[in-house]
Amino acid sequence: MKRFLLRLILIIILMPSNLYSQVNDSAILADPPPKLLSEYGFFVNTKDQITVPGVLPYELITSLFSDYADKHRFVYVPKGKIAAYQKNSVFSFPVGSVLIKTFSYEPINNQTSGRHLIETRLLIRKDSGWDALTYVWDEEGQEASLALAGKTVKANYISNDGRELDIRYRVPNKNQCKECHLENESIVPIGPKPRNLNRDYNYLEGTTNQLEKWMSVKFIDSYPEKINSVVDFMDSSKPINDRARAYLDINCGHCHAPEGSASNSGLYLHLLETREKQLGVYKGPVATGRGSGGLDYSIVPGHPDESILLYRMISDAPDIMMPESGRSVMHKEAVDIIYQWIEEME
Amino acid sequence: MRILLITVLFLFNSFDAVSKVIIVPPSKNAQEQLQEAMILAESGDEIQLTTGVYQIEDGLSLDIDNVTITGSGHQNTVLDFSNQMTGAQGLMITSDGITLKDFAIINTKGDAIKAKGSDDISFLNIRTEWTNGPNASNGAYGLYPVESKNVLIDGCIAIGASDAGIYVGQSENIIVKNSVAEYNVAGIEIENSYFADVKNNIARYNTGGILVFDLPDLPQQGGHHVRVFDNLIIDNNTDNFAPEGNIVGEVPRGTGIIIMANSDVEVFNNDISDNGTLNIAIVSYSDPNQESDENYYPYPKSIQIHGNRFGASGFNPDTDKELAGILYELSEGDMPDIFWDGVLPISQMILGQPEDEKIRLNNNGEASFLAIRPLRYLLSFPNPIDRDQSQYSRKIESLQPVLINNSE
Repeated sequence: MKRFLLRLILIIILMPSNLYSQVNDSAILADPPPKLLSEYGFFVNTKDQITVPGVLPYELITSLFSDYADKHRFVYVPKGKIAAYQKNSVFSFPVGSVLIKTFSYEPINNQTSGRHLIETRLLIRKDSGWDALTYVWDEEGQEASLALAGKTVKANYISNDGRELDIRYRVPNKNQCKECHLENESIVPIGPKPRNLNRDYNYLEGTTNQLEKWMSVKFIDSYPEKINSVVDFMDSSKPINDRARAYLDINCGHCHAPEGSASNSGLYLHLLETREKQLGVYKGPVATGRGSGGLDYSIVPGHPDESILLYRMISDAPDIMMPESGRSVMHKEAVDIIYQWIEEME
Repeated sequence: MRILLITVLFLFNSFDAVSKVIIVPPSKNAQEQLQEAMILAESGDEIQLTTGVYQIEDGLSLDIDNVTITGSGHQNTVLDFSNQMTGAQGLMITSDGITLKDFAIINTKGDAIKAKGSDDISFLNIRTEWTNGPNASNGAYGLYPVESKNVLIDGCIAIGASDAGIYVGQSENIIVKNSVAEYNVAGIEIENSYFADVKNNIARYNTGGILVFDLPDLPQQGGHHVRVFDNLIIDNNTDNFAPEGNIVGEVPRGTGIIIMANSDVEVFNNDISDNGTLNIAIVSYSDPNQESDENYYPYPKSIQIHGNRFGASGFNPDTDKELAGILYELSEGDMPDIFWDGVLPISQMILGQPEDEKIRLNNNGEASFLAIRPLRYLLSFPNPIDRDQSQYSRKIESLQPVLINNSE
């Protein structure tokens, strides 16, 4: 920690007087995009994922599962611009804004001093809409390179029950980014909606609600007084229905929605869906192939073991498992919660 | 561009825009090169696969409009997914104006080629195959356009799918022609779709040859205007190997054609023969556990069957399946060529069916017929079946040919 602080102080001393000049706004809008992540100037320290001032870390209440990878999220809004609040949606970010997400695993047995960085994904708000880019880190965690076609990275991590697990980690290609981020014909961010941001964050200068912080740094123009926030799906003090729906919303609801990639299934799992049949209750499989697992319905209330939804969350076979990409191991904690949710359903 | 071994030819189209040909030969890095080519391609480009076998481990995808992917023939150019690690399909298409031509995709874990929301998509001389023969562990669909428009499937071969070899779902303006579907559960299936011509194909050695279905609880329902003509639908006697829970799992082995809950279907000038259960079934959709979808009409209507040549059928009915079991019992073993389950809305069962919605049968040679009288059947009254087709012999009102991109 001491070393880290020292480094930080050094960096601040060495930094030019205009703090924002660290982020390279022209790199953000460059076409073709920069080949190296460092060209954007988001990080002062890559290994510890320390950003320059003006690039703000944030967390979501409930987030997408990605093979137990740790995620480090940051938001950048160019100076003098502001993101507008929109009802039931992500903020309307101005051109030049970037959502940054780094995926990493904790090193095993302290083999290296820093984190084991895998990839950093950027969602860049351009004139023509959002663009999705992925940068893959080198072994040392010093530099990340653009990987439009995706990449396969071998990673390993220690599971919650203490086992060392190998992962064939798939960095998504541009089209796979669209699988989840597509709404109608355009790419959209998924996470930064007020309902999923409304929580505290431990900033260097103290703990504050994230939306308050975003207001104070003039990243957003407003947010509603009353927010119907999602719950943290791991928060056992919350009702099981809220926890399950929060998880399904962020993990499934971007595709399983009338405008999403899985629209043809007729199974809709986003938070705003209220019809039981569309949520899967006694809904038969369509074009599901082996994905049905010989079961008749997506959800059979009271019978998780007879529910296709759970069967596909448990599987790791490419043609059966859900989501189709971004997961190679089972998310046990989520499976437990969905199991309980269906079991208690009447 | 990190793609190696690329030859670029410059072509000029009528807009003077530059199109290029990107050649990706088989190699150790072919998967990455191919995926990168499909991401960096620009409208008008052609990606060429050469002769050889490409080993692919992860699902490929294309999302650029107006791109053509060609090989040097479905026997010569093979994308082999036998060692696939990720991806619910081999190749996923999500853009418009796409032509896939002259290559094969084999042994994918899930579907072979899926196109979702694509307008103007052509599959020409494409082969999709699971090479170990019919097996429940095979992927569900070979050629699988869904929520698409202006779909052309011409000269393709689909073998071994555990659901349907050629499956067109929730789409409109569709032509499937000159293709062969064999050793699938369903050879060719048109589901929840509008305006489809299925012509001059061979559907053989499947569980069921050609299915025209409409299912509830989907964004696009009310499948209608499907013409099935000039096809050879023979010897569909492969045991049903679909994973349970899927609607095609209900299809009896030995079925030629099933029309379920569609309207305006015209089946004519086909050779339908050697299907061990029956040649044609016209049925309604029912699921006792499902609440009814009020936007869904579960009964077939305006179905016309004429000028077909029927051969042997009913010689080995798959009575384990409900449809065949009931029929075998009712017919006392004398299975018909053409079967209608007779189910109608209650009001029509009592007051009669509108004239223009009645089944029309004409000029089908010696084809035999059986319709259930559902009220009598349910109430266990005598004579629950009707084998006289004379009342269905009506004038044929031919459907219009299907247009793709507004032309034939």
